[in-house]
Amino acid sequence: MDAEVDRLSSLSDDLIYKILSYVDIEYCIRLSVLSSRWRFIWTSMPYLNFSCREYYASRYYEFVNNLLSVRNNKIDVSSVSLDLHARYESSVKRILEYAFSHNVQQLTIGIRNLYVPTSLLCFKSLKHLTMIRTSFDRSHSPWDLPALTTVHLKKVELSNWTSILAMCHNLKNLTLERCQAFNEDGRTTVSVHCLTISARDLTYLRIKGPYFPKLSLDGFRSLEKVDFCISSPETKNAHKIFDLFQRLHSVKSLALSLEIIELHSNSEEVISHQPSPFPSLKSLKIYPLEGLKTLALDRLRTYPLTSILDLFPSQLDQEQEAMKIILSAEAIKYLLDSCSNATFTMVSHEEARAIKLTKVAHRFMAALWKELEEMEAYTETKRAKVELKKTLADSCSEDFKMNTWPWSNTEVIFCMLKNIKLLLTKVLASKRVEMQACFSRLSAKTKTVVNKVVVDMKNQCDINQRIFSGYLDEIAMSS
Amino acid sequence: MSTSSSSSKKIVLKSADNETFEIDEIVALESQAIKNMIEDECADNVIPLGNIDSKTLSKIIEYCKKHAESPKKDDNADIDEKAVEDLKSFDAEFAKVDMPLIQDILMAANFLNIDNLIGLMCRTIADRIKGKTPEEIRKILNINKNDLLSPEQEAKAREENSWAFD
Repeated sequence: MDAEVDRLSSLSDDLIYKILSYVDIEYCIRLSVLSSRWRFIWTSMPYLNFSCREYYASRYYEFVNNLLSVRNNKIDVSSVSLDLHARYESSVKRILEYAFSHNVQQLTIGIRNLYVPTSLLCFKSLKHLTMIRTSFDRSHSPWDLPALTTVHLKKVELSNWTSILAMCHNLKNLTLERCQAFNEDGRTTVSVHCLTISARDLTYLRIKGPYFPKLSLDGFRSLEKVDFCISSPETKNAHKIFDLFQRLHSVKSLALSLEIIELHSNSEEVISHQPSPFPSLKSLKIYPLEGLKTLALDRLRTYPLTSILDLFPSQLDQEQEAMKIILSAEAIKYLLDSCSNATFTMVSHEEARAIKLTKVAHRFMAALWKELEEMEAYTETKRAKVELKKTLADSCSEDFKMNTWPWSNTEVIFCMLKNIKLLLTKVLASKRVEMQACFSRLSAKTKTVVNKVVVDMKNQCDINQRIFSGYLDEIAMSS
Repeated sequence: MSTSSSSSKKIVLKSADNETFEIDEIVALESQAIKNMIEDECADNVIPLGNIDSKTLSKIIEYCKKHAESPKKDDNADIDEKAVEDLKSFDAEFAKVDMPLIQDILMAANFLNIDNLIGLMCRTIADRIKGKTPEEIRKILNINKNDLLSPEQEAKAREENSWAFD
């Protein structure tokens, strides 16, 4: 096909909106100078992403206000995503009100340290809600979100006895990830103390975190898929979990952390006289979590691993043996007795670990690739500037300052490369060949980029040497 | 999801340059448009795709094959991230092609109605223009020179939206 064709401009607006749905709205506006096709595209964008870390709050409010007044008022907003700091509170309010009056269906809020007034959350049209690291005011009143079907709360602070979800009657998917609650005295407790959910159509429930919250449920008759990813459930709460199990009659697919089963085994008196609760079960999966806490990814940039075990806080060989034995007995009978043909998968520690390492390695390779591309782009623009200066006789002392950024980063790059190589020795066997190939490309790219950076440094030194001797000559002449 | 049991009925796709591709029906069903055609029984043995060239079509088939054989995403538990990660890395590799091909794939995917692929191509394009200057983007996207704003128009656009430009 002809490479000279401007294919994109011939696309429908919908596709261009979709492309722009991955970038910040501020950037979309700047694209208005691209061509006449792009001139007014942003004004009818149905996807609005707000993320900002630079402006003063008042300036950002002005920006938001301008944007929302210029935007085509007749076009509904289909999704809004907010990734802002708490100091933009007035902007957040303005955006939410606008979204509300434009029938927003999907809302993603990530605002650190901001208490979102529950009164703002009254979107009749809202279907999907994601909240990350956001808090609510301390009201206990239920959300007025009748159309809501999917809720994902991650690291969100909730009230201690909260019934925010008590009126979301259409809720189908609920994920609670590391949510916290605060007591009446304002101190945070470790996990949500009690959450009232009234969702008769709920089909998917996932709870992830260290502890198990108390759930007060109405319904749950349609629940089909449950994942309790609890890393350190407390023995005193064992009965809460097993009481809940008794209510999950319709569950077809169940995933439980090994830690829950362990709890189960430690409190046999609780369960020994309970019937097996899952008559509809088709698949049961048990996976270990403990020991999967790894180093923060960021630290892998500068922290040279000596062994892959550096990533994990402890070796679990002995515990693992112990747990395997416990699993084989009572617990399995309890979980599987009432369903004759459910498939049972037990994920071993090795596999869980390999999965985790594969994930880390993937993310890490992507991060390194991005970093290399940034270095390359920077070196290239800088080279253009340096070429320019070679021809300029009148360099000033400013040029004498060496900019060392891409060069100083090479140490980090090598550290990352070494760590990735180590990670690759322990990733899932099925992925190893493919990831090795990716690693080879990464190494080749590193070589190219570092070479460019070195050439660039040499150039800079040469120029500096010339300027330097020029200065010396000048001084010698004038004395 | 009976990938293997359907003893793989075959579908033949024909590209604009008259190359034919025989694929399993399950792979073809990744395209909502083809799926509709098959369901409405208006698909002959050979489906002609007069606006998709063979280079683009073979890329699209590669994508559909991979996505058809991997487990569907209704299983979003933690440990199933193995499959999700697998697809993610496939997608990332898949998207490492030049911009004209990406745009061809996007347009073809839009025609064939393959939702995930549309998303992947849109995201790829977005990633490639992010943080670039208008001049660079015009080059990357090969924006039609006749469509450019005159210096006066560009100045006006900047002026109008000056609140977003500093």
